Amino acid sequence: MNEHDFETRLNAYIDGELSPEEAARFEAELADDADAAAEAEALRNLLDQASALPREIEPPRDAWADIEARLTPRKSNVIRVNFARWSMALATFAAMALFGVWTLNRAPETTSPAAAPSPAGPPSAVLAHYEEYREAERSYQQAREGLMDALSERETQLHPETRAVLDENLEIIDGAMDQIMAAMERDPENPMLVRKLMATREKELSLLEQMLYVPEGV
Amino acid sequence: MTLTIGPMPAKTERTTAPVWNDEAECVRRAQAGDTRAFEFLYRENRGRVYALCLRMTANPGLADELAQEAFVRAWEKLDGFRGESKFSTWLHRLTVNVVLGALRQRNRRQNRETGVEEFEALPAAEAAAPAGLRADLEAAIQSLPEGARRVFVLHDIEGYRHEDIAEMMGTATGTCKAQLHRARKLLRERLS
Repeated sequence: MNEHDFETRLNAYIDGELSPEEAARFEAELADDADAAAEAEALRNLLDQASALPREIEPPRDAWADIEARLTPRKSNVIRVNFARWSMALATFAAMALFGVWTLNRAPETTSPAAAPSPAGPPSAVLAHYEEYREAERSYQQAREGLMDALSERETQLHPETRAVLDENLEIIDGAMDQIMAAMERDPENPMLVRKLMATREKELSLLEQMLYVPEGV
Repeated sequence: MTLTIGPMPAKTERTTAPVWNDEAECVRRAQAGDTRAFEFLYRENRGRVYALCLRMTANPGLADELAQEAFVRAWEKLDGFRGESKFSTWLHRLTVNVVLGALRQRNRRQNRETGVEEFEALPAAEAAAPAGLRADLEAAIQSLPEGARRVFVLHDIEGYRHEDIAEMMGTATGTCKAQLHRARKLLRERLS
C-alpha cells in the first residue's frame, strides 16, 4: 500500500467513512504495523486537540464604532410597506378600471371630492375609488422615492455598466409611462390604459428593488 | 505575525449592558433598524467571528477587517434572516462566505500579478503564539497552505461537512477531502 492510499484509508477510517468490513481489515493492518498505528494515534490526537480549541478569540480591539459608522439606516422595511400598500391599492384600482369606472381624471385634484360632491359630479362609488386612487398615487410616490434614495446610497457600489443598464431601463419605462399618460388624456375611459400604466409602474418599482440587492461591484 | 489569544471578557465587563436577554428579540429589533440591539449581537458574537476569520486567514489584520465586514454584511442582509436557525449559526455561515470571497478576490488579484495559484502562509516559526500544546497547534494551523488551512478549520474545528465546504468554496467534494488530508498530514509532521 503506497503512502497516498494509506493516508486516504486512514482518514476515511478516522472519519468513520469505511464500511464495518473495511474498518476491521484496516484495524488488522494497524495491529501488524507499529508505524501505521502511530500515525493513526497521532491523527486522533490532532483531531482531539483541534476540537478542543476555543471557539472564541478576543479581537485585538473593539470595532463597534467602525462598524456602526458603516451601518446604513434600514430603509427596506419602509420601502416594503410602501410597496405592499402600493400593490394593494393597485389591485383595487385596477379592478375598478376593469369595470369601466375610470372617470378619475375629471375629479378635483386639490379638494376632497367626498367632502363636497357636486350634483353633477361622479357617483359615490367612484368617489370611493378616487380615494383609493389618491392612496395608490401616494404609495407609489413614497415607494419610488424610498427606492431611489436607497439606490442613490448604493450608487458607488454598483458597477458602472450595471448603473448604465439601470438608467437605460428607467428611461425606457419613463418613456412608456409618458406615452400611456398621453393616451389617457385622449381616451380617459379606456381601462386598458389604466392597467398598462399600473403594470409599467410595477415594473419600475420591481426594477428599482432588484437593483438594491445586486451584490457590490456587480 | 502575532496571534493573540486571551480570555474573552466576562459578560458583566461588557460596556453595553444587554437590555434584552433574548437573541431572537435582539434580532427582531435590529431588523427594525435598532443599532443598539445589533451592537448587543455584535458583542455576543465578535469572539467567535474573529476566531473564525483569524484561523482561516492566518493574518490578524485581515481577520479584524473581515470580521468587521461580516458584521456590516450581516446588518445589510438581516432582513433575509428568517429565524430558521440560530442567529449565531447564520452569522457564522455568512462570515465563512465573507472570508472565502475575500480570499478568492485576493488570490485572483495576486494570480494576475504573479501567476502563483495559492499563497503559502508564513512559516510556523514566525507565528508567535501562546505557550502550550494549543498554541503549538494554532501556530501550526497558521503555517498551513491557504487551501488546506481553510478546509481544516471548517471541517475539523468548525464541524462543517465536506459537502457544505465544497459548496461554499465552489469546488468538488473530492478536492475538499484531498485538502483536508494534506492539512492533517502537514500538521502531524509539524507537531511531531
